[in-house]
Amino acid sequence: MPKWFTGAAVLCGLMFAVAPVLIANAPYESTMGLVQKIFYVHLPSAWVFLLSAIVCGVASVRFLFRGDPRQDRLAWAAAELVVLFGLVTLVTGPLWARKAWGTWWQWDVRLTSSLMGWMVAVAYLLLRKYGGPGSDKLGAGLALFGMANVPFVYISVNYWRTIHPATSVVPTLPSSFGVPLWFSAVTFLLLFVLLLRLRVRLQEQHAALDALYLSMDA
Amino acid sequence: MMLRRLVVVFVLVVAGSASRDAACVRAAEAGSWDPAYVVSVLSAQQPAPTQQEEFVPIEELPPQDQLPAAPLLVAAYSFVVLALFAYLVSVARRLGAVQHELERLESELKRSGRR
Amino acid sequence: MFARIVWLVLRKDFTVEVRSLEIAYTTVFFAISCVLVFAFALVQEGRAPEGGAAGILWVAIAFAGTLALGRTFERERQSDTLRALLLAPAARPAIYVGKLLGIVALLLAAELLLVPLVAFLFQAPLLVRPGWLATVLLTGTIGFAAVGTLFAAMLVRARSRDVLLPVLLYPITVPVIIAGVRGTAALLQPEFDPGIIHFWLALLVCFDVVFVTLALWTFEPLMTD
Repeated sequence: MPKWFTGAAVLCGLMFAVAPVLIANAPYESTMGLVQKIFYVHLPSAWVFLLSAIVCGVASVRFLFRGDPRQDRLAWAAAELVVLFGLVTLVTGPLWARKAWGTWWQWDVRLTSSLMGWMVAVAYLLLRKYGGPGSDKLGAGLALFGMANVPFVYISVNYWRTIHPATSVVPTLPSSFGVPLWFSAVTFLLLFVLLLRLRVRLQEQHAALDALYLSMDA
Repeated sequence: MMLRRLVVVFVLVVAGSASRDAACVRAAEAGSWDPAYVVSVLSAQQPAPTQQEEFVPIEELPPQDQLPAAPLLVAAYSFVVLALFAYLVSVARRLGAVQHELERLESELKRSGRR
Repeated sequence: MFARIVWLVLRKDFTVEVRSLEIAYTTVFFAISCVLVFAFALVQEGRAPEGGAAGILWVAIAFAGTLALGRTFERERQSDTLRALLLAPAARPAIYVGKLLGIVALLLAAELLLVPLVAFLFQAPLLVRPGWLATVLLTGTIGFAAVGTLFAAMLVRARSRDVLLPVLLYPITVPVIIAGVRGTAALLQPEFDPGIIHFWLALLVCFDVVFVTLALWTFEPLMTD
């Protein structure tokens, strides 16, 4: 592992220890009260969810056209993090919505497109796990198509929703979230980088193992 | 009577800011039920922010409509911690297994190389 | 040259299919069974749920399409004829287009039977505006088949391809399903609003153009070992 890894891991652990204190001390949001504090994990994880999806897509396209196995390892690692952070986002979201909107789920544009993006990432992982030989190329193709699909999902769901008017009002949030949100976002970002590096490391070890087995056969 | 009171409180809440509401509610509870008073209070208020007209703040809902926020919050945070921890453990275990096999294979190769 | 290869691939598939009609019969029968299952599940006290016909039509198309895609490429796998096809001195995109046209023709044939059946079982006025319905069905089928043909072709070499094809295909084709269902549902409304149809048709055409282009562009690197 690179030298910075241990230091960054310690820093990330410390930040995770400090974050709850900051969040607990943050002022109550006037209309939603206590439940608004879910926001401090929901939004950062949603950002990291999006970021890992972008990393996965870009790495997949580069692998498809250049054939660099390092890009493939990065794409696989990022796809796993898409599923992880997507799960966090999709679980904390409804818990917050239950209180704030009065309903667990809405077929709103963001919710639906996040769910579809998450489904594509799950399909990617299933493909990589059970697809056997050749699934690296196939996975890259799937990621590319998944990226091209995002605007279509967005437009179609948006229009589908507008002709079926929303039943509850989504309160827009005040713009001042304060320090805890940014602190939490940086913590999640650091965690993302660490997990990505760790997961790529696992992929590298697998590749080394395969190479070793091949050299034994030869 | 109770209903009427609730309606007045609702109207006041919709129209005004939080501090003024509190004062008005207090005044209303003190017994000033004169409609003219309510109208005068309303006209004295600043134009309400549009957002406030669209939903009733949670504190003003009747108690049976209020959901306890704490269990939802606890569920959300414990899910986040558990999910991240479980993922970390899973990656660490997979990494450990691969590392172990790699070492085993390398030592085996060395031994067979000597022979 | 391109058109000729497309035609040859299409004719080859057609000749093979006409001999046994295996895929055509199984696909059509499967689609009909789907619609019947929906009829048993949803029609209560002799009355169909309002606005359900469009959804059921498209679900049947999507299910039958997956089956047809899987079977078509399974046939190519059995004696490794897809490899032979790819080894032929022909442009890869032309092979893709030939395959795509074959699938689209098969699905359109299935839809010819499905539409009257759904209209009959769910008491839906599907055939009131046949021109519009045909356009929505055609563009939607092309979009579904464009993604499906590419994925099915790639999955030929993969393990557990039968399960993986729908798993990969459905999340990607969500916009086609939404647009197809909404467009068809708009046709069933008593008061006809061309604006809504135009929107969904435009979305379907854009989807077709983008995904056929992407598939032509990536077919070569994806099918190379």
